[in-house]
Amino acid sequence: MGYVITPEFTYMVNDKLGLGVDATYSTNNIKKEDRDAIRTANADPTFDLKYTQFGGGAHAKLMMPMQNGPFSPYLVVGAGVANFKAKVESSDPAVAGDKSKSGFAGRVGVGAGYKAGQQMSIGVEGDYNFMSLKKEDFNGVSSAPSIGVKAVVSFLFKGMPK
Amino acid sequence: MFRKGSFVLATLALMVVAPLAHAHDCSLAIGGGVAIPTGDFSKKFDFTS
Repeated sequence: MGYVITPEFTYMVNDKLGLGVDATYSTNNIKKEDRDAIRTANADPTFDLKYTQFGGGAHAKLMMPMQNGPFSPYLVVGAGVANFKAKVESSDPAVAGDKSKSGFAGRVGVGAGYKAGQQMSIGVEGDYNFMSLKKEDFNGVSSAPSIGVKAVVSFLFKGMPK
Repeated sequence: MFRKGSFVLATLALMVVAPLAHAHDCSLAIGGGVAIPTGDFSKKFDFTS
């Protein structure tokens, strides 16, 4: 399990639909049991594999019917481009190294926010993130999916009255 | 520790404040949390190539 950080900007086209841009940075390690199995199999106690993903894109948020209250659930769909980097750490120079490639990335998620002040809301969001990779770049691996569970703090700016 | 009563009270308090964003509003947000890999990246990767 790793962590993810996502700054984003959203403009409300109307009361139900918001469009915006976002960035994502996430980092992860392979599972401890997998790492330990590889260490044992290769007699390499220093082995580790870390991977990071950094990218940006656009998103759409569809606010659900409870919009008239302070509780605001929503659906979010996003797409963009990200750079995926895998780094192998090892005392064996033949194994150690890294590789990074860019590709299509996207996310689908649900979230909810609560207005916690005049210009601030707090909430949670869970989303499924995926990134497309070329099999030839990462030895047969064609995607790097993950589930993100995040706390979200939003600062609201009121639009100009018409 | 966090008690169920506190959660209910906090939820009720949040239910009585004003609505969230409307048309033409903007928001700047930052999210942070955990990322749980669901693929088999670690199992397929050939560490010796």
